Amino acid sequence: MKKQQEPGELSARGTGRARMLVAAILGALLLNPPLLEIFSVDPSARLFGWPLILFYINLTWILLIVMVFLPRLAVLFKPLGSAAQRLLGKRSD
Amino acid sequence: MQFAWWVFFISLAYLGLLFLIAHFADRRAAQGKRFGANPYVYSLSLAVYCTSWTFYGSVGRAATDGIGFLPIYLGPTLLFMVAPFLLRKILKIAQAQRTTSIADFISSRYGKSQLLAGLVTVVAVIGIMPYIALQLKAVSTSFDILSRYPVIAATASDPVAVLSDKAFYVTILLALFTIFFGTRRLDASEHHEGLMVAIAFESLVKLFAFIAVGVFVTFFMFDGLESIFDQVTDNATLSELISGRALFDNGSWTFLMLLSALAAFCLPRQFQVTVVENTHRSHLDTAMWLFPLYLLLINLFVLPIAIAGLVTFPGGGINADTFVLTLPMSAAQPALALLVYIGGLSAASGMVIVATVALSTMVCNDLIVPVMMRYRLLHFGRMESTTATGMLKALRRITIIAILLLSYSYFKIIGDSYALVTIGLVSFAAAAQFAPLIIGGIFWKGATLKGAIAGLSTGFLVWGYTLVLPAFAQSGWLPLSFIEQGPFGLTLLKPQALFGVSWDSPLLHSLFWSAFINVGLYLSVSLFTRQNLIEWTQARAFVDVFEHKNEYVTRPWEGQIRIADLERTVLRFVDSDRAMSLFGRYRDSSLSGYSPGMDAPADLLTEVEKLLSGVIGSASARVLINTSLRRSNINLDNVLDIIDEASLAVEASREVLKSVIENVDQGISMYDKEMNLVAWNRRFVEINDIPESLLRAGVTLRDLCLYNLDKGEYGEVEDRDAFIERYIHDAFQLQRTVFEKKRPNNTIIEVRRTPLATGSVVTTYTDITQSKQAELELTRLRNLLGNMIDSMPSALIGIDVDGRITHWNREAERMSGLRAVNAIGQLLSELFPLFPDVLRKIARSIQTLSPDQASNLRWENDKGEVRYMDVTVYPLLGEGVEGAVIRLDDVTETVRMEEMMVQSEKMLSVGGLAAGMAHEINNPLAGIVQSVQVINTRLGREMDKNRKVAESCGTSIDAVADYMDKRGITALMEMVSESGKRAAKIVSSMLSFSRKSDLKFELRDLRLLLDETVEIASNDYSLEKNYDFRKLIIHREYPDELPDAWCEGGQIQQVLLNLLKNGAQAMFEAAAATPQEGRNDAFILRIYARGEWVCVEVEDNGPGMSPAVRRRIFEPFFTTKEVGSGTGLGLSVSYFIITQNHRGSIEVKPGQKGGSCFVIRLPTAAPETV
Repeated sequence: MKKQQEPGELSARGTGRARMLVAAILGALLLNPPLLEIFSVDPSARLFGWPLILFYINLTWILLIVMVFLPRLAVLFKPLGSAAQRLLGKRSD
Repeated sequence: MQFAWWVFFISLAYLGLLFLIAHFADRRAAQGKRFGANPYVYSLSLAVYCTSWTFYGSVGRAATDGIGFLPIYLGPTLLFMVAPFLLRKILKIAQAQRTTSIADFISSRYGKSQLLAGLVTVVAVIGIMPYIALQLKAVSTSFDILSRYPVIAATASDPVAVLSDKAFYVTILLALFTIFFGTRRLDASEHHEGLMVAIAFESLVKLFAFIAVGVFVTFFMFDGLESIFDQVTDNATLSELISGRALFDNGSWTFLMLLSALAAFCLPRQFQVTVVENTHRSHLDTAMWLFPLYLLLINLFVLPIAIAGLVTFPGGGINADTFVLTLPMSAAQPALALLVYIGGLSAASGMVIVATVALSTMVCNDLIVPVMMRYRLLHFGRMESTTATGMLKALRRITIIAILLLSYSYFKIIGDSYALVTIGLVSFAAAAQFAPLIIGGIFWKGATLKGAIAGLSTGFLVWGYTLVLPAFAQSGWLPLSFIEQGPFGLTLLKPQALFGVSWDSPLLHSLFWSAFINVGLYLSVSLFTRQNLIEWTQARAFVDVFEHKNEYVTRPWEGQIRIADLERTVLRFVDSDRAMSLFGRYRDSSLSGYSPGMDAPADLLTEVEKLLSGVIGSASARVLINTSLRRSNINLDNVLDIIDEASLAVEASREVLKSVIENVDQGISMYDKEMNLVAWNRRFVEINDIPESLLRAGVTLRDLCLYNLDKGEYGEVEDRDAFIERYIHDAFQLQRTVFEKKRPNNTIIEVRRTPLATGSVVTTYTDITQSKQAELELTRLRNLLGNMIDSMPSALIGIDVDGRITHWNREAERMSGLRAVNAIGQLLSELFPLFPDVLRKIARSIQTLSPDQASNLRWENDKGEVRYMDVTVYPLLGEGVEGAVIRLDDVTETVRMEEMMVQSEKMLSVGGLAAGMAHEINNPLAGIVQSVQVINTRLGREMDKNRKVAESCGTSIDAVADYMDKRGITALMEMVSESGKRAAKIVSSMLSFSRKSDLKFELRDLRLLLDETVEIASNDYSLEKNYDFRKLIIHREYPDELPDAWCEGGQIQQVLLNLLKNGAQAMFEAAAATPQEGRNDAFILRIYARGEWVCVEVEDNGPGMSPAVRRRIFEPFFTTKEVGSGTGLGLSVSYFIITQNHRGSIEVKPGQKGGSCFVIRLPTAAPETV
């Protein structure tokens, strides 16, 4: 008998594992030369006050965290989505 | 009070707060209200990665390398992306092996080698000690700087004596804290929950402090990020640093990222918090995003602070490592500076405490205990010692103090030679030496102990040669020429340009060469060396950790020890509760007569080994147990070699077998002789509805039985213990057992238990619910059909195309006298050889598929009775079934009734004819009688007319009379008259006999009726047969008083006549057959009253009847006469007349004188209906 997954509990099996692997490979590529060199050509370039290279690294960093956190977000927002759907459905009725 | 004292007391207060938090968490845990074992505490405790090296050093590195500090945090971020593949497996292995430290983990993988464990410990201590020194230096430096507020010191203070050095007291405080919370339990595999909560709290404090200073510097000292980064625009050097191009070009960026990723789980303290202190593997899911987020946040303001520091303190007067502290001081923000100091203290103390706990466990378990065992200071021998637990605790505490003092010494002696960042990376590089052994060990079964030792030792030596020795040289402990020219002038061996290869960064140089040699030797030596059995077993336990089988690996032991000795000695090292629990559990689950005097089985030794592993490490535990065993004479190496070879061959087939077992539709389980569940498949879990959580290592049949009892699987059980014992006893029967089990959910499981020669039991479970239901339905239908067939009044016989009987119903049994079991399978032609026509019809019917019939077949049953039957053949028309059904109907009664009807009609016709004849005879007979009477009258002497007429004729009437008397004419005339009267009477009787339609029931005197009948019978004679009724003697035994009987006289006469004639014939035939002189054939006629009945007995003294004949005498057509001389209907008609028409009875019994006696009973009054 398979263990029932509790709400909010993430499992790294199946697609989750694949997503993590893709995130790791993508992260390694994005956070290493030569991609980084593209953003370090002009040290004076700024974005929202940050040097471009720093902005890019921090943004990629955040995106990687979001990729990991995304399934948990989906779990958290699923009830809200269902409630909204029910609400909209009732209204359309 | 001086500010310095404020700082000192606040430091003490903060450490006191940590004490309180840790103590509170521990107390809550002891009460079962754990709040430390949650994913957020776990994730924050991982942030011990961010030490003072991060807190202070990152800014320092940013000031010199720009964004060069980032790879150190991006590496762990990427590591946690692949956590499902690496860290999760490490966690699983560590929990299964009860790992206490990274040394324990690595040595466990490679056959629990004490040598390797010791080597790892040495590497860790040497590699990490500078790192701990770094923390002490950071606390000391930050205290010095802050205590001088508002003065901002340009450099560190001058060296001071140890007792005057605040860092020394910090060291002592941290040692006390670590001792208090790190050694409360001896079992290092248990979690230090209070400690981890304190570390998590520190993580929050340092993050808050760093962000606070970052916000202050960025938005209050400067006008935001843009304002800060604009400072860089004009500075080409700073711009170049921020761009990171230099790092990208020489590969430092990628190398650092890789190094920090490895360090994130290879550093002893990181291994401690990530693996040893992990309470649940699912916590890793939260850590995968929360820990990288923490790293991002704590590094967000590093570069702005670094730039702000460079701008605020131009010229390098202030060490960049202290910018975090000196910037708020320069802005006259003592409170903020104090907060930063507390943040730095948190970062440093967290690292020191955790690292010291980890290192002290390693040093104690993997260096001191083995040495003590070697010198018999700590052993399992008979020498009584109750101080082992206390001694081990004391050793661990001493080790903690020693490590911290050594670190302090390192800090005092060599700490100033490197910047903070450099020291940290040196430690990272040392820890990275473990990475090949860990990663290779959990993914590659072929890695050997020799390969691991070769790789680690050489990698470590290269690390020391290329990083540590140059540091010594730079500190003046070695000549600088050692770096510049190489040892003994050998330039190829220059520590920072080995073999002529140089890097910009000595760290990269060291990392490359140490990794190259480490990995190269690890792989190549492993490929060319063999594992021993322990290594082989452990390799599979690590690599195949997610497969169930590894949880039950029982390793060989090289001798024996009695259970009592084992228990007594284990109690010396382990808390008594845990030891008693282990042995109690084993005693309860033991099937075969547990006795403390018996030798401990291998699995118990393995359990003890696991228990001891938590206290003294797995390698020491194994050695400790081995030293206590009585040696056997078997050469274990030879055995292990044989097992090695066999095991490798078995491995392949095991995989095949496993896939087969997993895919069969039957549930399969296997219990060893100690009742442990050692193997099972997916269907076993599904069919028995067992939760996965229950299927853990060491689960026994008793556990499963208890679980099923709780679940109600066996219904209501009053005596649970007795039930379990009986269940276990039944499960381990010596013979193969098969039974069906109905589960509460109404599924039916067929359970087959097969005992093996080894004492194990293999049980298969097959869900037969559907087939059972089909079988029950089939049985029901078969019974219904059988009942219907058996209830048929006809005999039904089923045959196949060969004529063999397939069905034989109950009527067939009755008709044939042959039971179904004897008939089925026989050829019909053998059972019914007398009816070849029928057999031909059956064959033809089967061929043509058309029914056929044969009627009134005469046969005799086994009693010799003649019977008649109709035979109907129905060919089977169903697809795939060939043969026929034969229906036999016993029509004997029908046939006989038909014959009786024919006979009755015949008799009726004869009766009518006789009546007609009697009527016609009666008229002339009346004339004769009358005429004779007239003659007698006209010859009478008395009549005058006769006299006159005689005289007129010339004679006298007297003369005529005399003549007639003398000539006897008068007598003849009298005779004619009498004969005529008798004839008339006979005719009258015949008329009344034949007049059946004129039945007239009335009360009759049976005496008269019987006499009349005798009179009729007296006329019955046959000259041919010498038969004459009148020769018989008639004895009458009539009572004087007799009630009349209610009867129809004619029918009663018919019955009596029949009895008299039959009796007479029988007596004459007997007389003819055996002539005897003086024979007096006679009838005895009795009439008497019996209650409401009048009885008539007709008894003869003839030959009588056998009992068989007596039984059948009233059957229609039964006759003992010759063929043609009797119809066999007489007595049956008589029976019918008496019983049906008169509601009387008739029976026959043996006569008193040897003949037969018929008894007729007739009612004295009219019955209600006649």
